[in-house]
Amino acid sequence: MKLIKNKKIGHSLKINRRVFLYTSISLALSGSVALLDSSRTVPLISTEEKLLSILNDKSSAIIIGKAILNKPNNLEETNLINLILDLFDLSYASINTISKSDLATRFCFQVQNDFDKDNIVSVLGWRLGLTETLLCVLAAKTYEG
Amino acid sequence: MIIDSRKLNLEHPLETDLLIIGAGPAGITVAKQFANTSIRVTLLESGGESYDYAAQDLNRGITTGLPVEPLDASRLRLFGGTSNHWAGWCRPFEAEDFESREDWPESGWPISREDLNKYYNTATKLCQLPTNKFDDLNYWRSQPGGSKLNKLNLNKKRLLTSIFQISPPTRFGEAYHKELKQADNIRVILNATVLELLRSNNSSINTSTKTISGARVTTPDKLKFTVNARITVLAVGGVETSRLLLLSTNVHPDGAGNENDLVGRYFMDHPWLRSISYLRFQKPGTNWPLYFDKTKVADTKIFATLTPSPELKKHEHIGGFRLWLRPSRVSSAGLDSARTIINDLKQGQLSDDLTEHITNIFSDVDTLADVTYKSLFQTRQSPFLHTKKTNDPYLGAFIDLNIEQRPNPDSRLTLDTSIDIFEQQKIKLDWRLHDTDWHTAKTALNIAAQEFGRIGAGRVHVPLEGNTPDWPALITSSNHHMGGARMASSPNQGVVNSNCRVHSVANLYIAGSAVFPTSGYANPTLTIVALSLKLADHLLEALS
Repeated sequence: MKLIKNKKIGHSLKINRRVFLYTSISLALSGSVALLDSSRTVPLISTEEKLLSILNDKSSAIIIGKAILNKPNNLEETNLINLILDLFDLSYASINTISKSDLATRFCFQVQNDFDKDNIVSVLGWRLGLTETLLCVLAAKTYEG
Repeated sequence: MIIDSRKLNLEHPLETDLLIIGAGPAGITVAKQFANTSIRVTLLESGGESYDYAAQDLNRGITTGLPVEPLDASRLRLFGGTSNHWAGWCRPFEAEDFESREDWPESGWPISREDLNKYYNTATKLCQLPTNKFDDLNYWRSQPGGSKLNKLNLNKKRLLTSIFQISPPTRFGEAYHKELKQADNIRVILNATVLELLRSNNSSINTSTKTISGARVTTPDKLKFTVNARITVLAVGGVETSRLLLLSTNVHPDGAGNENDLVGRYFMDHPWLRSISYLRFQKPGTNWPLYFDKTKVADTKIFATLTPSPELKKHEHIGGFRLWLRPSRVSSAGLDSARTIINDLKQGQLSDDLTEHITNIFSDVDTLADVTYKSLFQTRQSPFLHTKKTNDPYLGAFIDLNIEQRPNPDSRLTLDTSIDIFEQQKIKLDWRLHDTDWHTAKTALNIAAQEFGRIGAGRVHVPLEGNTPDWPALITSSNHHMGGARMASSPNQGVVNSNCRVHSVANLYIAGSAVFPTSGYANPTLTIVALSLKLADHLLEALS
């Protein structure tokens, strides 16, 4: 009985291990796929909103963004979010985990870096950093369609 | 002795060793260096001891070219000269201001800043400043009232903090009246207007180096007299120097010192763009006392401006400039909206956000009225902008810009056909800029925008765009008249030599800003006084 039991136990253990392994691998794979997919399937608006959350004055940002979009530009074709994330040294994954204050710090650093490196854009006569300008365009596109 | 020309015995020519024409800061500085020496000095002043309309009228002239203040408003003709309405801003020229630049062939003084250093030290005293430590912030901070002063953390390869000291201001006529009056060897003659310089009888008009005997002078009653002198110094300011040289056709048919058609050319001022830009603070309530206020410290007042580094000037091929900030408790939204609407209208359009812009204009009507008033009437004061309480936070700062203009031979003083009460031709000023000056102004504002953005101070509105000069209507002069008798080693390039002696006249010297070959960005008075001290040293040696 003990043996049978043990066998049963052993058998059952063996099955459980297999199930466990198969399940784990499946879960891991599906999880990875899910993770990979999440960057595609989670609505972009959440990333945009996260980025735009650091703007203090959304209405001014929209005016500036509209002014840029009203002039010939190639920003329609460009993936703005990718551009901005690159400037912030962030990925789609990390944008979801970074806190708003950390994001604001990166933003300030990047804008100051823009001015230091002369990545400056003139909008309606105002001299703005490239990063903040892209955020303004993103605001205009997001909130004003 | 100080005497009125109408009380002189005019039967015989007056004799003197040193004749100084003009009792402004330059003339008085030269004269007082001779006090109580054995050298007889005569100092002639066209005006009296106080403001007189008839004398002041002699300053009228014709202006063409860029807008300048009327010549009878920007200069004063009385004892003490234009120092009587001087604002008192003092700062020496930078060392590089004296150097020759490859990209500006007209640049370069035949003397260096080092040659002037000791004279600058004395000049600070004559201008009643407590120290020559202009940019030593540790010194200012150690003085009572100075602890709150801090410099901005600017990139020193781009912008520098350059500190001005504000003189009381020194009214040279009042400050040195007693000293001149008490000096036995100095005779100050008031209401004595020089009509022309006189060539010596033994000097041919055709020789390359002539001598002059002195000057022909008139009283207000049109009684003429002559002053004979071993040496004559013209110290009549940046406009009148050219006029008197050009009027002196008996020294040379084209005017004294004008053998090479240089007299009157290369006239310079510091083009002033008032409230040209606006810095909107990132953090409302920003306060930079060193840059915002004329802070009273160590018995003087100091004030910081932003100026270019030598590297920036070289790299960008620009002249000097100074940016100064006037903090504002009102927003600039109305001003921006007005500019946007105007620009749209120029292009035959109407803004999509017209309603919003009009709302901004109504809410900022005080600011708009203030800027419009100052532009229209070319004034620093306006009756507006007094509605905000002084404890409201600063929201931004208007930026004023003065630039060093590149020397331009076509910017010039000539004689007009109209005449004054003494039948002397009036002066005509045609003030012009160079394309480089537009680049200087644009670069100055863009660099300021870059630095204010970099340090997280705020964002700057820059209204100058494009590569073709398109000066806004609010451009004006700073009443810093310079050039017209520029200093150069060669007579082909300048009117006077390194000792301020007219190249072609052995005993005629010029004191004052007329001899400046370049103008730097600093107000000229301190350098005028320093150069006059250097000239006085040279003349003491020559006359001894």
